[in-house]
Amino acid sequence: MNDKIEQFKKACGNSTDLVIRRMKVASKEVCILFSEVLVSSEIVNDFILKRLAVMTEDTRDLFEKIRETLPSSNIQKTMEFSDTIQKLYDGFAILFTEEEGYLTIEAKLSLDRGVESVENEVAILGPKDSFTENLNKNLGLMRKRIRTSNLVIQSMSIGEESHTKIAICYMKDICKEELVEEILQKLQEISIDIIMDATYLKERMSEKDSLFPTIHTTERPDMASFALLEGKVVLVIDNSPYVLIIPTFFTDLFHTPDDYYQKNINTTFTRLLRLFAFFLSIFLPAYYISITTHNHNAISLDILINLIVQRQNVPFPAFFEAILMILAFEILRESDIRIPSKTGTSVSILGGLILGDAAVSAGIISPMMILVIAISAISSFVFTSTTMINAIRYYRFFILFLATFFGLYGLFIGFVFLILRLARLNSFGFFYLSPVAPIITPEIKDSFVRLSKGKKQLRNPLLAEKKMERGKSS
Amino acid sequence: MKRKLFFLILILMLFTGCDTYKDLDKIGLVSLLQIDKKENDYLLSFDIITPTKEDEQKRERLQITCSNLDTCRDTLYLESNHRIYLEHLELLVLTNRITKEDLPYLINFFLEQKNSRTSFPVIMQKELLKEGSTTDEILRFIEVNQEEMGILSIVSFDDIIQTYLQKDPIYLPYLAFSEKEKALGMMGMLDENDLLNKEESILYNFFLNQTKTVSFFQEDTQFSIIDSSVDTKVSEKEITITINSSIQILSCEENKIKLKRIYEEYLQEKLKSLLDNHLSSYFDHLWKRHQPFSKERKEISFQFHTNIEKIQKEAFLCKIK
Repeated sequence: MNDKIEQFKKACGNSTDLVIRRMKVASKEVCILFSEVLVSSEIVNDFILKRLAVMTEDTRDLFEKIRETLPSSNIQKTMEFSDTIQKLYDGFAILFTEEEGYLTIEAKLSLDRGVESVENEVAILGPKDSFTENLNKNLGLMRKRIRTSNLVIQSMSIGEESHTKIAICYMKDICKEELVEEILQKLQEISIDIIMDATYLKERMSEKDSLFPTIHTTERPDMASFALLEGKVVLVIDNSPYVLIIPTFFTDLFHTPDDYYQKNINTTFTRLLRLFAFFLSIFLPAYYISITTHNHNAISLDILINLIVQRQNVPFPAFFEAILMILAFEILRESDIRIPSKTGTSVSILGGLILGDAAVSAGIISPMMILVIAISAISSFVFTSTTMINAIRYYRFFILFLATFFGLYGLFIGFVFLILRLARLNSFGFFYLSPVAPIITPEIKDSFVRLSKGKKQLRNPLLAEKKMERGKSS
Repeated sequence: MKRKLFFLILILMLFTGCDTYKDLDKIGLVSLLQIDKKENDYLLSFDIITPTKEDEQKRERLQITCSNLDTCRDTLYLESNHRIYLEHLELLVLTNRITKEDLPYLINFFLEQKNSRTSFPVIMQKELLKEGSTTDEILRFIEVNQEEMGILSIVSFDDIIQTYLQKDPIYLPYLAFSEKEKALGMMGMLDENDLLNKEESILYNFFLNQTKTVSFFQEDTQFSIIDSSVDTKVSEKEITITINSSIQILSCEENKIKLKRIYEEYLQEKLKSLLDNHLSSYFDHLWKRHQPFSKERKEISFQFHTNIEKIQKEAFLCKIK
């Protein structure tokens, strides 16, 4: 017995959270061992120790007797010591005697928060619940929406040290098998110590040379369920309130949860607005620099005179002024994220209004430049994906740089480069720009616009080969 | 390889891109350019826009005398400390002398400018405009005149280039300023320094579709053209000028056919006179372009499609008769 205890202590590096309790059960000496930070002491006291204490009758197979007695759904007997160590850190209590073998009893302490409302992907209409850090809860939130045996959940664990559970979810009657296989293969190839969040996997599974997200993350169970019914695969990662949707197309980034809860015309309008905001966000500062430094002939004389007046006494060249403003905005944004919400508002007012006004009064920045950068920055926030916002930021810099050197020619070169990059990308073998390039009917009707698909509601043929028609097949 | 490519792009950017880079406060936007020639020297007058917060329309006039236009531009750069931009040139004023002697040189000069358009309007003057006359006023005067009376019409530098290349006679709006600087409009003939009279100017603009509303009296009858289009076609046999017009008539006469005949005969006679006296070379070139192997230009024939919209009988006009 002592040898076994020593073996556990050694394996756990004499961790102080390890609780060892010796007691007599049916005249036999048993030892119960668990991690006090992962195991609920109430469960151990009320449902294990109390029940064991009243067991007095001798028995030949003590483990079997305990299994019959304890009211736990997850009690397993194992012979391997390494398995028990894993179970120990999964929140199990380990029971053993001098005899061979171990009994693992689930007694997990609930370390999760409850299902809360959505924080980032806010929608006016539709459900408000969001994923939590608990894998099972997250799976339940999806199962609750898709009550069919066609929703398959496969599990595996990744992380040499964390052994993080990952659930691969897909609709077996819709999703392509090759896609699932490719995802499984990629997951198996991942070598990592710990998976802290879904973004760890996203980083490792995305296209390496892409700034734009080729895997979408969502905190909304309804969006994940939508994706499953499209024929996509959803990865749910333990300890992460976000799930990954694979594959992701460029047009998906222009879709919001609200889109499917309102009329098509409203959705089309807002999607086109987002597309306009995307280009505005990337190209507006570059266009402003082009027309004020190279292509003065691209605007009318009245506007040009207005701009000249505004730039009077500004000591910096327009490019430097733009960079200064963009950096100031990025700093403001970063500080706004980090600052506690109670003081955040006052900092925003101080940074946004007072500093901006002071900069103009001091003659450091022209009012038009503040307007241009503000419009550009605000336009990028119509997207919920942080990766997308970051991609827009880098392309804004890149095209601004080109416009500084080459004016509108540079801007056009940047535009062509951006389109070529997007056209070259793929997400798990699917063209990133589809269904626009190549044009995929009927999916084009639900891309940058949302049009009525008619009586037959068809899925994206790229993803859903097996069951193209939505609803009851005719 | 990637590093080499990066440095190559960087060098290309640094050595090529900045060539046209100029901040707004470093450029001199020219709104009015006047060119004159005295003996062998050019006299250039630039109205440079120098806006301030208090006065956005502020202009500064600089005059330069030099041996050629390029030197003038460079001298102005040194004197004004601004790079001269002709992209937003609102008006070019040429004197009779320079148009007579240096039109090809002028065309070349503007076509060679990197930062110049050629769509700006051009007017002709005897002398350079005095300070105080603004481009806005001049252009508005011509536009209103073109719309209401048809004596003047806007002619752009592009029109001049096109007309020059076709070797046609060039006409420019000629404004004669009275002593009180009040503008009076007339069309001036550029080549021979010959001015068209008022009636000819109207007919010239009418012929070129520059004005669509013209009024005139004939045999105590007022004809008002409210809409018109003139089309010229060249065939092997003849040159046909087709005139489509809608007219309103004030007359004591009510016979529609008679009135129509009077109108068409009068218009034909006047147009013929204009074409013979001033636009003969225009039709010679037109004929040569379309019929290069034909030696003699054929006669010009007129076709009228006249729509009388309204005849109003005026007793007052009958009394005159």
